[in-house]
Amino acid sequence: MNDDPILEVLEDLLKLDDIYACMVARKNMVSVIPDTSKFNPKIMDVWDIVSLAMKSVFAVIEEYSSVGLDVMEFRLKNHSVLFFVIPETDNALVAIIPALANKGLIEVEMENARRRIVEILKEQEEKKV
Amino acid sequence: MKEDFKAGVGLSRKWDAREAGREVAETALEKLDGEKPKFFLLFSTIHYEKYGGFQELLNGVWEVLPEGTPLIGGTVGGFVNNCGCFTRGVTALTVAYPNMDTIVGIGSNTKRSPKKAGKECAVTIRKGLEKTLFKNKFLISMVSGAKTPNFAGIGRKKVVNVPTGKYISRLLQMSTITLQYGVARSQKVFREMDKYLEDFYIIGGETTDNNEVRENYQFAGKKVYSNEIVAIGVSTDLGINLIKTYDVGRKMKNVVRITEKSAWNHIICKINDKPARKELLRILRWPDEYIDERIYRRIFFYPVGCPDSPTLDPHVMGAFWGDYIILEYPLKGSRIGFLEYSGETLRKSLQTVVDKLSTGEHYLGIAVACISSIETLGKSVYVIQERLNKVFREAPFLLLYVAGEDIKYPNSPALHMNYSFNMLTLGTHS
Repeated sequence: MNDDPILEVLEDLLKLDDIYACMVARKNMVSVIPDTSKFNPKIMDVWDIVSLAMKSVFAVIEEYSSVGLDVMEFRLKNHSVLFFVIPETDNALVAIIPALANKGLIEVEMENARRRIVEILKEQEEKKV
Repeated sequence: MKEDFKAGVGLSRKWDAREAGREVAETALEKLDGEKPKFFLLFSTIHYEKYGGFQELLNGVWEVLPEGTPLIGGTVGGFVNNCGCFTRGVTALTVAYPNMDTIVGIGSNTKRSPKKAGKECAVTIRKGLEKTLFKNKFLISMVSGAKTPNFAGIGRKKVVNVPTGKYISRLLQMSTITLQYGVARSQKVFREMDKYLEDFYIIGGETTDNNEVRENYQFAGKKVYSNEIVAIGVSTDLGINLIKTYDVGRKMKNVVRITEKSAWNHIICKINDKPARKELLRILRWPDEYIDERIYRRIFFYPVGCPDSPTLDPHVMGAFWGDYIILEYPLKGSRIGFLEYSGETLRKSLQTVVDKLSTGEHYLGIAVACISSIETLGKSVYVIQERLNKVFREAPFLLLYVAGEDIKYPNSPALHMNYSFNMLTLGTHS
C-alpha cells in the first residue's frame, strides 16, 4: 500500500492488460510514476523514442492546456500514446497502449482515472487552505 | 414514485472477484431499505476472469444476497449507470416491489441448438408466470455472444488470410455447432421464444468480453455458464415502456448486390459476383492493408445496411476469413449498402431516447446498446451518462454495451440488431 493516492490510481490503471505503461507527467518532468518494473516489457524496445516524442507533445500541451486542450494521441511503431490533460495544469495522464488495442474501451477508464486525479488534487488543495 | 417500489444500482471497482461480488451486492441492496429483492441483475466486464473468476464473483454476491433471489446476468463490454461509465468493474440492479412476480429461465447450448435453447428458456418463463395476477410482462435476457474459433496454427483471429473456398463456411458452421466457438445464433433463439412469449416486452443482448470476441459468460442463480441464454421474466402492475432507436443514419451509400451467402447467411461470399473482400476494398477504396487485426478501429464506422428492409438492419462486419466477410447476425435480402455512422448520428439516437423519456415517471431504466458505440465514443460516453442522469435523477438506470441487441414489443416479432440503442423503463406510463 502506498501513501500517494495518485500513485494508487495509476497502479490501478496499469492492471489493465492493454495499458503497457502510465504516468502523470509534464514537460521535462515526470510527476508521478508507478514502479517501472510493473510496465509491460513490450515497451522497452520503443521506450527511448517514445520518451523523446513525448517531450515534443508536452511542449504543445504546455502551450495549449490553458485554452482547453483536452486529449492528444500519437502512434509510434506498434504503440499508441494517449495524453489526457489534467484541467488547469500543464500535466497530463499518459498511457502507452498497443496499437491494436480497443482504444475506445481504454479511453473510458483513462477518463475515470483522470476524474479521480482531479478529485485528489482538489482534496489536496482544500487541505492546504 | 410509489412508496412500496424500491430499486438500487450497485457498483464495485475492486479487482478481487469475491470482494467485488460482495461490494456490488451491498451497494445495490442498501437502497432497498431491508426489503427482499424481487430480482437481481448482475453485469460484469471480463476482467474477473483473471482476478478470481466469475464463480468467485457470484460467491461474493451470494454472501450478501438473500437466499432464493432470482438472479441473472453476464459479461458485457462496458456499462453506464448513475455513478458513471465503466469498461472495468461490476454493476447490479435490484428491485423490491410487492406487485411483481418473477421467474428465471435458462436455455442450454445456444450455438449448437438455438431453437431448443429458446424453447427451453421460454417454456420455463411461461409456466412460471402462468398464475400471475399482473398483466404487464417483460423479459430481460442475456445470450452467449460470438466467440472467435481457435484454429491450430492460426490462433484466434478476426482476420485470417487463407485461400478462399467453401471449406471456410463449413469450418465456421462446424466449429459453431461442435465446439460452440463461432457465431452467436441468438436470432434463432429469439424466433423460437417468440412463439411462447408473444405478450412480453423483451430487452436483452449478447454477452461479450472487451471486444476481443474470445470468451463470454452468463450468470443465473449461483452458476456461471458459457453457451446459454439466461433470462428473467417479470410480471407487474407497473407500466412498461420500450424505446428503440438506431445509432446509424438512414442515408445509404454504395448499394451493391450480394450474389452468394453461406453459413446460415452469416457469411457474404460474393459481392457483384466477385470475391466479397476484394470487392468491398474496391468499393470503399481501401488498401488491402486496412483489413488487419485493427479492423475494429475502422470497420465500426462502416455499418452494413440492407436497403430491402424497412429498418435497414444495420450489421457489424465482424471478421474476414479469406475473401469472405462474416457478419454478427444473418443477412436478409440480396443487397447491402453502407450507412452513416458518426458523432452526429450517435447524438441523434441519444436525443431520440431522451425525448421519448420526457413523458411519464420512470422508476428505473435498463438499456442495451451496441459495443461499437462505446468503442467509438470512448470517453465521450460520459455525454450519454450525464443526459441520462438528468432524466432519471434519483431513479436507477443501467446501460449495457453488448455484442448484439435483442428487443421485442408485445405481439410483434423479436428483433436482433447491431448499432442500436434500446431502453426499457418501468413507471407510470401505460
